[in-house]
Amino acid sequence: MEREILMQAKGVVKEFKTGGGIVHAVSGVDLDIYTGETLALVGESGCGKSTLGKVLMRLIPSTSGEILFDGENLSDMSKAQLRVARKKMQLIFQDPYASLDPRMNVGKIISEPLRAYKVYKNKDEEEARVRVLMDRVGIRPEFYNRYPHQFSGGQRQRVGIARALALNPKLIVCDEPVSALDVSIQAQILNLLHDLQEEFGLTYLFISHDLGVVRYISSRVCVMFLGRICEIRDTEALYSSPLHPYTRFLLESTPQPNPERRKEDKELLSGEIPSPINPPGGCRFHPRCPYAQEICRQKQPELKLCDSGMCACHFPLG
Amino acid sequence: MKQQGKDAPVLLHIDNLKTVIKSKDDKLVPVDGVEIEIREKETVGIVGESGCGKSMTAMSVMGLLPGTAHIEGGQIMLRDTDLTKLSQKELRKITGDNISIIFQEPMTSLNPVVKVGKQVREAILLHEKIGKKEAAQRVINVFRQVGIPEPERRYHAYPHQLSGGLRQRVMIGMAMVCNPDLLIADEPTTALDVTIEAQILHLMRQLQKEKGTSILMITHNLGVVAELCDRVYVMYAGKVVEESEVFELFRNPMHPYSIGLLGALPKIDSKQRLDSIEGMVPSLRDMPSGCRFAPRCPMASERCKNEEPPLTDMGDGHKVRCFTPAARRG
Repeated sequence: MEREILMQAKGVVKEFKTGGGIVHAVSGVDLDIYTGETLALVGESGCGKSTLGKVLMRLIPSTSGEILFDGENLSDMSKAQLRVARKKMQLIFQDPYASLDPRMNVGKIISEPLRAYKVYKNKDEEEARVRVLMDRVGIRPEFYNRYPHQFSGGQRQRVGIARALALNPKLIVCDEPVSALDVSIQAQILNLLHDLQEEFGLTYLFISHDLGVVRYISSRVCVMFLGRICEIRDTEALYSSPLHPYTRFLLESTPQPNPERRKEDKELLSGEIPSPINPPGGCRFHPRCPYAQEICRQKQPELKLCDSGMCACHFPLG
Repeated sequence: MKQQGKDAPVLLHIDNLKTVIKSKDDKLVPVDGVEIEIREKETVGIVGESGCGKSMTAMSVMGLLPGTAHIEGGQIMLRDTDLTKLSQKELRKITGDNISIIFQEPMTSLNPVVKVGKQVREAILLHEKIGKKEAAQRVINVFRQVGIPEPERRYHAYPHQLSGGLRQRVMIGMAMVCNPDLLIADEPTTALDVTIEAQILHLMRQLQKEKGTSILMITHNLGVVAELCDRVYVMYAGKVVEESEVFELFRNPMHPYSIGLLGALPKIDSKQRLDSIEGMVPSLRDMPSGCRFAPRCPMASERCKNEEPPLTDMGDGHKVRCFTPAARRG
């Protein structure tokens, strides 16, 4: 089946200049996001997943590389062109406290994108649309005039989702949307995101460090380590037979809510995450990889086609 | 291991603990009649969501409650001593010698302007009459034990020069250096990446085996409980709602809240739709009468709304606070 590509990243690089040197946050990422899928971006802190998310939406400019979205090249758009393109992509943030203006009532918050793009000429129409959105994400429409501080974390996240839906976007980038929530509330939000995707045919780029959450929500997973892609494959295949050693260690390290599976002699990844200011040469994972050989220190492995996706490793498992 | 725990003598018994927060016109009760037992060499978990009272319980034991909170009732027996009856000074002495605590974010518990080696050395010198040199050597040994690479060099590092994982290792080193009987760990791996979390959990398991320290693990993460604990207490809105041996709890959860929590958890090996628990945790200012979980409970009856269920032993030490607990499977 030919899948339609909604977003395409080609050789995307993002570097930040700091006092201590250049931070290589994203170092040459090629990525396709297909229409209607949920692509999860996973990795540990500092792997560049959030930076990549921002670069893809051009919230921050890339150092080099190209980003195509819905048939257009985002990388060389003017501000005005970008404004039009941005209507089709929205963002949901991790912290439902910091991402809502405390001085706006939720009706105002949700309708802000509608006003920014002058979607409705008529105030009543706008308010009606907001009430429909509130109802759809599970906030009682009579709370229209309430302020964020009157809501719990889970409800605020629903407000953020309603705001993201307001313009009928094609792509929603979800940056750790449930990491700040308790388990029982997290499940409510994940189920909501899942249902909205089916109902509106949304495409998600889902950035997360939680492999349980990713398994549940995603159809494909992209594992990043220190600014590069290790492995990008269909979720089922990646979880049942990881090809990149780093993916296997991530899965192995995740504490599982099942004592029967308890392994006291787990194979652990030693060492720490190397610095993105001075990333190791060759395969960036080699200093932590128990299978590393001479070639891994010398030569950067390329992303190669493999079962159900791609993997960048000189000695893939399997 | 399990048998040994069951028959071992009780180290800490939290008995009907009630901790309150008082303000001018308000009295909140974040811990309301909590009963917890930790035996020698046992790892016990308290699991629950934000605001369930798990951390307040730990702080009550350590005498680290914020100024507005105090213990209003109950006992905390460390062997034969009731910690609630002690003066602040006596409590510090006894907790310092017998109980250590580690927190979620080691950066806030370490002094940023003192070298980490010196901070750990202070902990030794406070409790033992040995020379500075000898103490420093002990620190380096402890650093080696908790897996800090190049311990002699790291002795002279400031906290900000260490990664989160190494800082947590320093905290564990500091906690273990006086060989406590009980280590309280309050979300010790929550701020860490998963590969580092696995290292730290492994280290705690290792130390527990070698030194026989009892561990009280406070966490919101059922995965951490499943990996590490022998027994578990599930807390909800200031009360223990279920208590069980760990394998039994995951196999046969009996309280609707425990069942809901397990069902709500995304699992690494399944894609099933998540069961969500409707509604949210009640506010401390507005506790429901009767069973506190009743407003969110799919099983709740009229009785649950009016009458509080007692914690009932269903056999083999599996206790549940519910009028209609789930039946035991198999």
